[in-house]
Amino acid sequence: MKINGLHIENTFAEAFNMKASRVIVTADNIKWAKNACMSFTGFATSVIACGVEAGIEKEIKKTETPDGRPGYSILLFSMSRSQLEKQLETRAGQCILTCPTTALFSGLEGEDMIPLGKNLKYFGDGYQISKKIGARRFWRIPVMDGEFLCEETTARVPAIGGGNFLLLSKNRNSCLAACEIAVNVMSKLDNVITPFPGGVVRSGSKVGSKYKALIASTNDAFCPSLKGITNSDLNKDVSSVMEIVINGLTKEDIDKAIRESLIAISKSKYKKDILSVSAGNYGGKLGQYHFHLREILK
Amino acid sequence: MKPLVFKNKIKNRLILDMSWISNINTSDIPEIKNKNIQMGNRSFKVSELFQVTGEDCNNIKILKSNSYLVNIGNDLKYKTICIEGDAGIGLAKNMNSGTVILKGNASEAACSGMKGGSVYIYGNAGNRLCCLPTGKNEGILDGFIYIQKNVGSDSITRMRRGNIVIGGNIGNNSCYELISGSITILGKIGKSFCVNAKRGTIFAKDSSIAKNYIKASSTDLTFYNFYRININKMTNRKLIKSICPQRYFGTKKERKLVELFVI
Repeated sequence: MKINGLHIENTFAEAFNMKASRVIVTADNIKWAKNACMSFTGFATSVIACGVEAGIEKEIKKTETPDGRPGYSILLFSMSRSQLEKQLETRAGQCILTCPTTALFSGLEGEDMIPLGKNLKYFGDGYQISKKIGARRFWRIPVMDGEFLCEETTARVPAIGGGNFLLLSKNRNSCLAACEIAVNVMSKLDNVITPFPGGVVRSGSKVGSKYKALIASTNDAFCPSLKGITNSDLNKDVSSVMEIVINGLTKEDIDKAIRESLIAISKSKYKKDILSVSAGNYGGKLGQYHFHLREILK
Repeated sequence: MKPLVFKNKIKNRLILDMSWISNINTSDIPEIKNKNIQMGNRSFKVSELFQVTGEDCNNIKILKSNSYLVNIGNDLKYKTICIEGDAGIGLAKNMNSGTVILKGNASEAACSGMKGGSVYIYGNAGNRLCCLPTGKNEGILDGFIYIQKNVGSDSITRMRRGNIVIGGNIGNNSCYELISGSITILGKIGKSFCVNAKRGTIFAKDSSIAKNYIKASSTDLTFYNFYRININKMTNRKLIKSICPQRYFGTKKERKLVELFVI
């Protein structure tokens, strides 16, 4: 199958059930909101070692935020409720509470609520003030630049993590440029994030390793430098492979992200160097969701 | 579904307890019409006192209401009651959740013991708004109240939580023993305001009360702006316009943690 000349392999991405939450970070200006968000979403690329996968979902105009200041929404994904709770509170405490002028709000509605400022309030040492507006409770925690306003809880919802595709390219520059186009398209979509640095992964992994202590190791079938000595999935012209991992709130959100980003790549000047588009899977036995590239692009 | 409408056709001047309206859980009009209610020393069928139409028991309208209809919205849960005309004593008394909209004036002791939900009074409210209900020690536990015009004296006693917005003036001895919660008053404030308060936040246009409070920093207005946006949204009006209020924090005498924004 070809889309505007871009070859799409007959394969699928395998993704997993996860738990997600959304928070909104605002500040006096967009610069400080971004500082807080970059810090909050730092070291949150993979649940394997980071506990949570997180990323900035989108910028929110000041007319749309709860306190009338500019901000960003952040999505967090985790495999378990306890990890999500722990990571959310830790990161909020160390990265948002500490950042000048910021405030933190829930960005999701639901019945399954997890703490946001519920325990952070104790930083106020008795001077914290509770405010309830409608059914939502907020905490005003006095800090040195004024006050940290934080919602007590946010919602946790079921979500999907690990949607992906791989770009197999003649050279590294074109591969990266095409990935950037894809990430740029996805950054404009709601309900999805690309948690890796710049949205792109170069170290795709396979399950297991020759070393017993490791649960994952390099995906040698897609390593151009190992062509000839391993059971490679790459043809002789491929010299660079990069992956984009997509986490989303629903299957439709990830479908849309894959579709729109691949169409954008197919319309770019870099498509001539992209030999094919593949996807990462584990034979379909581990993940609950399968994203068949050709079906998505039909 | 069409709202369940009760059109008042009572001509005499006897007080009628309307608490029963909060307990209607059927859309069966004949059953509602045949329900017996007490007025004075006689029992009446609902249909003798009201013209009943509609079907949605969670969305109730009372037309041609007057101050002889008391306890409307008493113990209300989930429902919406819209009242056209005045309401008698005990409007939204001990209300749990839901919405009461009054397009007229409320008599005494409105919203006494309210625990949740929203009350919109597009008129005046009499004395003792949010007063202590019988056997309880807090005048309002939670919920949102908007009064478009004035509120009488001895109002808002021992408020625990919630948000009250008063578009007009408030009488004497208001906000006695305020425990917490937020109160916005856009008109003048009577004598002995907020005596023995413990905590809470007041947003007031009347700067005469500021003399009792300690002037504080106004550098961080994050909460103020957040509150302003929410109150304007909840009332669907631009009630709080000021973007640079003067903040006071703590009472001069007792050093209690009462916060005042002069807007």
